[in-house]
Amino acid sequence: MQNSELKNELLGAHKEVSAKELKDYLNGNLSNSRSRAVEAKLNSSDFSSDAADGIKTYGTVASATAVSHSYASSTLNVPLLLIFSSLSIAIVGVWAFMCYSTEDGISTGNDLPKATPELTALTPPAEDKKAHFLEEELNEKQEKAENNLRIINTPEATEANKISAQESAPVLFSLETENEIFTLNPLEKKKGKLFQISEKATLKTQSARIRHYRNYKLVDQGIGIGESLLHPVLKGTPAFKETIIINPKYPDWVPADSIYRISINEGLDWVISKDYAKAKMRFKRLLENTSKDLSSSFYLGYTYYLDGKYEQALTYLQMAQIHVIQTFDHDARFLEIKCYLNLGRDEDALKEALYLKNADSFYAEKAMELVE
Amino acid sequence: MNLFKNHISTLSDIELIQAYQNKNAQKFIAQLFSRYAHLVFGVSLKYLKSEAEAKDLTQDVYTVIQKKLKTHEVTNFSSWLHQLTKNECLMELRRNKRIELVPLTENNLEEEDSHIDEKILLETKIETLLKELENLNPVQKKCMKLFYLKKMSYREITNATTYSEKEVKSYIQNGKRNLKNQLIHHAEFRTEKRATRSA
Repeated sequence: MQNSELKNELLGAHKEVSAKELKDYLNGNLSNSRSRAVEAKLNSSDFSSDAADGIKTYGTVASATAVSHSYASSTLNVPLLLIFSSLSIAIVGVWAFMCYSTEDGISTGNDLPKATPELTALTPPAEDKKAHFLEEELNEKQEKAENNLRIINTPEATEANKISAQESAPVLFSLETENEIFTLNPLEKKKGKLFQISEKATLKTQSARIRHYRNYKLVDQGIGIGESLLHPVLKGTPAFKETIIINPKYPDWVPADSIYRISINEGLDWVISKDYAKAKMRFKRLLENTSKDLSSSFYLGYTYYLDGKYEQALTYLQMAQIHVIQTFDHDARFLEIKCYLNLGRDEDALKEALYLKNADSFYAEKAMELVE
Repeated sequence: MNLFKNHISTLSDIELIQAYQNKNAQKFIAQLFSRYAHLVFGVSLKYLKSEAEAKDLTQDVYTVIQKKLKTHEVTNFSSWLHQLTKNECLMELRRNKRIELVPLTENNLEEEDSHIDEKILLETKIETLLKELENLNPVQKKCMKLFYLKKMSYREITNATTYSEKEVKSYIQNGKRNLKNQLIHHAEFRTEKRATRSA
C-alpha cells in the first residue's frame, strides 16, 4: 500500500458510503476486497458508520433503499427518465429471455409455445441436416454395440431384422446406460428380449438415455424412466411412441427437435430426479396448450402415481386413453390397476386387468398377477 | 450530448449549494439530499429506533436544509448534515420526553472543528505513523495492521483471529482514535519543542 493511501485511510478522506454500497455491504453481497473498501469508508466517516449501525440494528436494508430511491427519483428529469425506462424494459426483456433459456429453471409464465399443429400433430420430420455426422456417430455406436453382442447377432435378432426389413424401414434403438450401450430392434419386443435388456439396464442406473434411429439416422433421443418393468421405461420416451406408431399411415412423427419434445423430456428429467412438483407443472403447462395431448396426460398421471397421489393419477391416466391414437392405452390401464389397488378399489383393478388380458396386452400377465 | 453535459449529478456538493443559493431551484437541493438520504435515515434509525419515525425525520431534515442552506455557509456538507441530523433526532427525542437535554443553540449546528487536527495529522510522516501504531495495545494493533496494512475485511480478520466481527470493528475504531490522539500529542510536543528552541 502506498504511504499516502495509508494516511488517507487512517486520517479520513471523508467519502461517504453510497446507498448501493451500503445495501450490498449489509446484504453481504460483496467480495472481501469490496467489503473492506466499504469498511474503510465506514471507519473514516462517523456519518456513514452511524447510519450503517442504525440500519443494521433497527431497520432493514430494503427500507433504507426505498428512502434513498424516493429522494433520488425526484431528481430525475423527464428525458433521463424516458431513457432509463427504455433501458429497464430492455434489461427485463433480456432477463426474461435468459430465464426461459435456463436449463434447470422452471418458469410458471407462458414459457411454452402455444399449441400449433406443427407441435402436436403428426408432421413430417424436418430434414436432418446433421445426418452425415450422425451417420458417423451411429457407426461408432454400432461398433460398440456389436462388441456387446447382446441380441443383435443372435439368430432371433437376425430373423427379426429380416422381418423388419420386409415390413418397413429398419428401426433401431440405441440404449446407453452408465456402462453399456445396447442396440435393439423393436421387433425383438415381440420375442421378449427387449424386456430383459432394459430391465438389466434400468436396475443398474434407474434411467437410461435412449437414441432412436430410422434408416440408421438419429431421429430422436430421450431419457427413459427407470422402474422395475421394462415397458414404462421405454414408454417414458418419445422414441418408443414413435416406434410403435410406425406404419405406412403415419410414416413420421413429431420432429425430435421441437420445443414440445424438449419440454416433454425436461418434464421426464424432473421425474427421474424425483422433483415431481416441477414435472407436474411442466406437463400441466403442456396440457394447457392442448388438452388432447396424450403424452402429457400419461406422463402427468405417471408422475402423480409415483408421487402417491392415486386419485389425481387416475384422472390423467384416463385422459391418456381417450385419444384417437391409443398409444398409451395399455400402459395407462396397467398403471390404473396399481392406483386402484392402492386405493382399495379391487374390483376396478380386476376390471382393467381383464381388459388387458382379453386384449392380449404386453401387460396381461403382470396385471393378472397383481389382482389375483 | 447536452443531456448529460453539465448535468447536476456531476456537480460537487459545494457547487450544488452555490447553485441552490444563486438560482433558488429545488432540483439542486434535491440532488444534494439524494446523495445522503440513506445516511440521514440510518442515523435517525439509530436514535429513534423506529422506521416510521426515521422516515418522518428524514423528511424533516430535508425541509430544514432547504431553509438553512439559503443563507448558511457550509464547507463540509456531509459533516454538517450529520450534525444537523443528530440534533434533529435529539430534539425529536426531547419533544417526546424520551430524554432530558439541555436546550440546543445554533452553535450546536456548527461543523465539527477538526480542521486543525487534520492539518496536523496530514503533516505527519508515515514513519511516525507506523511507529505510533506500535504503541497501541496489542489487540488494537493487531486489528489495525490486518485492516490497514494487510487490507483484510472485517470478515477476514474474524476468520484469522478469535474476535467477533463486532469486536474487530470496535478495536479498529478505538485503535484509530487512540492513534489520532497519539499523533496529535506528538505534533503538539514537536511544536512546543520548536517554540522553546526559538525562544
